[in-house]
Amino acid sequence: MAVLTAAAVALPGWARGNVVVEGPDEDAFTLLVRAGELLRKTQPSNARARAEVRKVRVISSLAGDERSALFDAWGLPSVELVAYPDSTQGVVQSLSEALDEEVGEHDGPSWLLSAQLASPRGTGVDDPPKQSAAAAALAFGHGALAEGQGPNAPSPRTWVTGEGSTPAGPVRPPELRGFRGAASAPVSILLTLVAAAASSEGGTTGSWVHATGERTHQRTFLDGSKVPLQGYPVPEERVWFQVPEEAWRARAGAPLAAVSQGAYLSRETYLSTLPARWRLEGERCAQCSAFSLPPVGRCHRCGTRDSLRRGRLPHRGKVESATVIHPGAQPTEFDWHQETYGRYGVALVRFPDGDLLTFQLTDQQPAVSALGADVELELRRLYPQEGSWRYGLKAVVLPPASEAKATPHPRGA
Amino acid sequence: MTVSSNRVAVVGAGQTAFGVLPHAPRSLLRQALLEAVASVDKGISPSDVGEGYLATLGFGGWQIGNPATLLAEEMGRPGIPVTHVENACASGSTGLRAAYHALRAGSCDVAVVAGLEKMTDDPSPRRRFWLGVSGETEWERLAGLTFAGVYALLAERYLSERKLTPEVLGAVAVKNHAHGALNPHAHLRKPITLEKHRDAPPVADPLKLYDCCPVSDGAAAVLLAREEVARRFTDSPIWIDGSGGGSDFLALQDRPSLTSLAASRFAADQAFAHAPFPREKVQFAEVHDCFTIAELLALEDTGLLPKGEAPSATMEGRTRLGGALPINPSGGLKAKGHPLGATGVGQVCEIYHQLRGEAGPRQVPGAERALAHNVGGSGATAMVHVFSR
Repeated sequence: MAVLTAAAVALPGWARGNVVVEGPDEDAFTLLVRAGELLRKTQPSNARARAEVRKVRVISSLAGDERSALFDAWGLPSVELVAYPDSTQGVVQSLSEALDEEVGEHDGPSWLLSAQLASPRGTGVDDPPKQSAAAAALAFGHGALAEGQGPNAPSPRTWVTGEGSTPAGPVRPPELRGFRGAASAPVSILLTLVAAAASSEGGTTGSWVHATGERTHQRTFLDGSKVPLQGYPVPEERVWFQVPEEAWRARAGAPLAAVSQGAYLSRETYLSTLPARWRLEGERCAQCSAFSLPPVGRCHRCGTRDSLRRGRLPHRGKVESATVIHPGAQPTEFDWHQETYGRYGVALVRFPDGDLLTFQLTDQQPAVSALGADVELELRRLYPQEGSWRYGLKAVVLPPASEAKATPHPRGA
Repeated sequence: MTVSSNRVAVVGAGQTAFGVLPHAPRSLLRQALLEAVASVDKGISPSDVGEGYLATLGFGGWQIGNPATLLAEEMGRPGIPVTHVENACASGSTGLRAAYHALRAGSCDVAVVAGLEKMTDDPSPRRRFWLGVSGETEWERLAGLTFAGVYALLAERYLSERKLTPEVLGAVAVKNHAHGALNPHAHLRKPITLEKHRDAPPVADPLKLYDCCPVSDGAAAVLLAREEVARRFTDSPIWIDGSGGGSDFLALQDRPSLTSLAASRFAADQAFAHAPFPREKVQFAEVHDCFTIAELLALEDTGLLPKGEAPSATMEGRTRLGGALPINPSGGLKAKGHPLGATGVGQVCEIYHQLRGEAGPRQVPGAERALAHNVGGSGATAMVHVFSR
């Protein structure tokens, strides 16, 4: 039997900062990616725990190629991926299987993830559809991995990573409870599980989930201990943003001819170059120092075929130049964005080693011209095409360091 | 081989007006060719023309494949070898360069170069599609940039590094609109003020509406002849004294500089390496100002002005008609219009008429030496030609 060794919770940027966004571009896929990244940072770091992830369970309605693209986003070797239905039954079944698995001391962990944007529940103009989202990721492994980790840890901080109401802050269980009911049932259940386990005293070995759906009434146990949850108040649903999700779906399914006529990136090419697009994996040329993306065994600047070294660019840099694209100046791929939300930002980002790449700014960015500002790159929705979303890195402009004021732009505000 | 023994002359040049035109592409092409033929002082016959180059991107999707044959047909010379040339917005000058080399190589005595674009009858999304296809697709376009956005990134960096305000961009727009108002062939014949430029809607910050060239229909044609035969057609030929070309990485992110276009520098250096006079002797120029920032870049990249002087020269009026170095007396792409493939050929039409003293109210007095600068995309390709009378 496996035990819970680590947990992580990811929230979209608009929930982390409690900000209103102009054009939200996070969804179940980007949240799964984010939760997995957080989970990896949280996993036990002792030597025995360094084995690669052995199996991934995903409770979600993602399409098959999007599920397999998760490995590209995480930069993990592709391993067995089991998909479960996006339902209460799905979470109970996946949890049971994760816990019942026979694992050896040297086996890598298995992951269980779920991420969802909640279904629209509005009824009309006076009650528009409400959206909220969260993702949960759990790691299971041999009991020996959990020494000083998991529910046995002295503090939840050592085994639960998450994003509360402060950006990238540690999860505090009372805040997590706020997301019960905010997302889909599976995510809510996993969040509740994490919250209950994290809030238990050090040394308590388990919690349990009591999931009630329309047609199911199930319990599943961790280590057999029973920590009832009845004492938890059920908070009101928090509304983070309102989004015409149906319009996105309609656009994603539009015929290709209506979106582009040739200068487009085919789905095949897109899928085959994900490590370069999402993780900035390329080759550094020792001759001229240029970084080539994607890696093709030849420097794109000086043409050398030897002295190339595989590497990755960090997901941070500085704004070298920036613009705000107003409606009418967008490529046709971004018509949906302009029609729905209006303007968006684009920046040339200078990386620490001098490399330069082009990124759109993320949803919650005000239209800023922030030359020299620090940015971090996150995976987000880019544009819909051929029935699904294309994802790519976008830049989040970080606020200037508290004292060091940004150099004022010569144009003033 | 010396340059003088193998010179190439422009012996005729004509164009349609640029703008929103009711004509089909084939009619536009025919009109430009008729104008060019009519401009030849001593007359020219279709049978004199030995080769043709047609510059176009796709003129609204009317004839994307094999369009050059239309040039032979409309020239009245079916049967001659014709070639479709495409270097985005630098297609016209690329056709000129190809014809120049064909003549210098002796493959024929007379060649025709035509540029053609029909853009305004496209539904807006398709037009924006065409405007966006000449940039870098995977990183720039799919990060949400069209050319307005790409040039905006150049402009933002330029203004920031040089501590300038967008007023300098406005000065370019005001000047070129004033020039365009004097040109009966111009798309925009309406002067504007700095205030109008400043208060216009934003397109891609810091670029606003009047920083951007219009989307135009139009065609232009020039007739080129080897020196040996040029005087059969005119006693006042205009000589192509130098032809230079350059290229660069397609995407801004791969280039070392955001405030200078290397392709323009290469092209200018190459053109002046052949020319019998230095760049200081150039009296006026038609430069590629698809966006106002592009004219500022062009002035320094071609070496017409020393590094750092383009903004002050513009603000002080040195680049106006009547100034020391008039730039874009035709109105430029900004006001004359920008029918992509026709643009580079249209620049030569302006220079042909200016150097022959036929430019009417926008005439640069005593003009003897001129430069044409034409850029493809955001500087991925560029051509520079130097002319004298």
